[in-house]
Amino acid sequence: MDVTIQSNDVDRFIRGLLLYYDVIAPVARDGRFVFERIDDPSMASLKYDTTLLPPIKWIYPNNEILLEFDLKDITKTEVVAQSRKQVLTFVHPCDINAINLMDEVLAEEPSDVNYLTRRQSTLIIGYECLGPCRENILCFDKGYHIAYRGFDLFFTDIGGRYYVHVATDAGRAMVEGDGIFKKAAYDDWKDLMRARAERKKGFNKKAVEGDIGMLSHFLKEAYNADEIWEAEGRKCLSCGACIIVCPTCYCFDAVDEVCPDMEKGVRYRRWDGCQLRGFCKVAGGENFRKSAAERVRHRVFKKEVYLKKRFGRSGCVGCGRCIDSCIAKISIIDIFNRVMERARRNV
Amino acid sequence: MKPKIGVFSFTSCEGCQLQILNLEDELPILLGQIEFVNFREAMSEKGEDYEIAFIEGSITRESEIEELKKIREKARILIAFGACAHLGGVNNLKNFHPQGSWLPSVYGRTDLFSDTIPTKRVKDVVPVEFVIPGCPIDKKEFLRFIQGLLLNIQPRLPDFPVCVECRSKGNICLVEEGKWCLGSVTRAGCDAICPTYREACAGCRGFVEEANIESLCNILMQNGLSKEEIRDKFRLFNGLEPIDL
Repeated sequence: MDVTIQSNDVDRFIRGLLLYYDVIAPVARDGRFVFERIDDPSMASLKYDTTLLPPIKWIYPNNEILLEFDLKDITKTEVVAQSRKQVLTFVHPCDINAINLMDEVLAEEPSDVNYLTRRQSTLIIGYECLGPCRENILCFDKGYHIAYRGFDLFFTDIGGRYYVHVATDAGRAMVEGDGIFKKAAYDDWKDLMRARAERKKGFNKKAVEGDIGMLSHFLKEAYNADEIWEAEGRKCLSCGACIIVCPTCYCFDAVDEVCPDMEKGVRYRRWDGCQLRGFCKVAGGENFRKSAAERVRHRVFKKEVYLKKRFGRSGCVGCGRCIDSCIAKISIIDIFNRVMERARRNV
Repeated sequence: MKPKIGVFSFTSCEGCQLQILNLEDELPILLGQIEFVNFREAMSEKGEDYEIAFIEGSITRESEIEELKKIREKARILIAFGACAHLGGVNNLKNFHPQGSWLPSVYGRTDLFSDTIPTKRVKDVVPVEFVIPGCPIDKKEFLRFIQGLLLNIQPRLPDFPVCVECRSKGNICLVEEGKWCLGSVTRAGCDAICPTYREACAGCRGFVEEANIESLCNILMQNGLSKEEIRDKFRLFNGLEPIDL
């Protein structure tokens, strides 16, 4: 079932959602956008470019508590996995595709109870991109500019109104009842097709030259290509910006915190990742990825080789956040292009 | 038996001691587990039977060297807390001017503090077991340190840079905006409080291990800062650290 909603009725729709859910929406902040919990529809921006942090962080929050323990009796340790009902609204396809991938990655045994608990109480409203939103993106190269699943509702701007694809029962429940939504008619569908034709025109420039399907293979061949990795390593600050803003980075460190009375405590997880020096430090002080060059290479391989091998698709959804956030101007697009170029040269 | 603690202050603003006192909710509970025997900002008694000494401030006068050595002799564990004790703090700025040349502009006269010497970090004078960084220290970090001590767990400082905390909060990066910030080479643990309020990280918690200073300098120069300006930014807190600019 598909429906439509007039653009100026979206506020009423969000107001309705606010009665039942925590509503997380793109909100303008100093010229950029962030996903924030809103309490008024006017806070939400439907038209926005890639947010500073991806919406998945609302399903995988920083400093989430995993355990509560009792220092006097450690057998009283309790697993904590809670979630409020929330709707992530107006999520772009790249970010939906990232959540889809994480749904698989984190469901693998041993599954991530905290993620899955939050995911189960999260509804997702997608928002179609009809053109590139920023400069440094490669979603189009990867086909991640389109989402086929992983949402309950999916909004497409068809001029003055939105075409809303209803994908799940939970989605149906959101659009039924209060008369804001109308059943989609033939003309609406025609406008949708027109918008999608425009989308094809909008997304017309590939960021990576060559056959992206071969990238994983060419990367493996370039594992020892020091002219790429050493050069990037020299620039890299190991500041971790790229791994914090990435929608498919899910590594964490577990930290214990004890109450002032030192009777009870919690174990929480803090976002962590392979670009940080301490991440690969193990007992005894050994570090198995000592240099920034090795760490940069690992990030690229994790996204484009290891996740792909295991889950059948690239772990880089092309959102470009790592590129925008790198003050040393390390660009995964640039690295991909150099790897492709190297392959062309070596043929 | 409750561990006995002494808190001592050298050249500083004493704001780090104040941070301990700012643990208003936790202190009453904490005092059931530890005993302060010497803590000038908080009490009149001056006990000498401390086994753990917290040192605030840098060493900037001849007389302070002897005082600090005496404390070191008595204390089993000595902790440098706050940027002055840890790095020399802003007091290290005087080291970059001819000795004593700043006296008239600071005090209006030159006959005060005649035993002034170039600023030293606590570790330049006595061995230090542990550091609690920051200007001022984070009171929660102090609390965690005490808890670690009581639970016999080695307290762990974050070994990652401020950017991690800053980005995790969804902040807009100051360097991305063309400004300066030292967060990418500075030890986290402050919850990126300065950049969160749109103020550059000045590096008060010291550098992370293997900080890529050279890359950051190149970036800041692209943002329009001169080498001298960058050097001055580093000097504010890290002037005594070995960096080649």
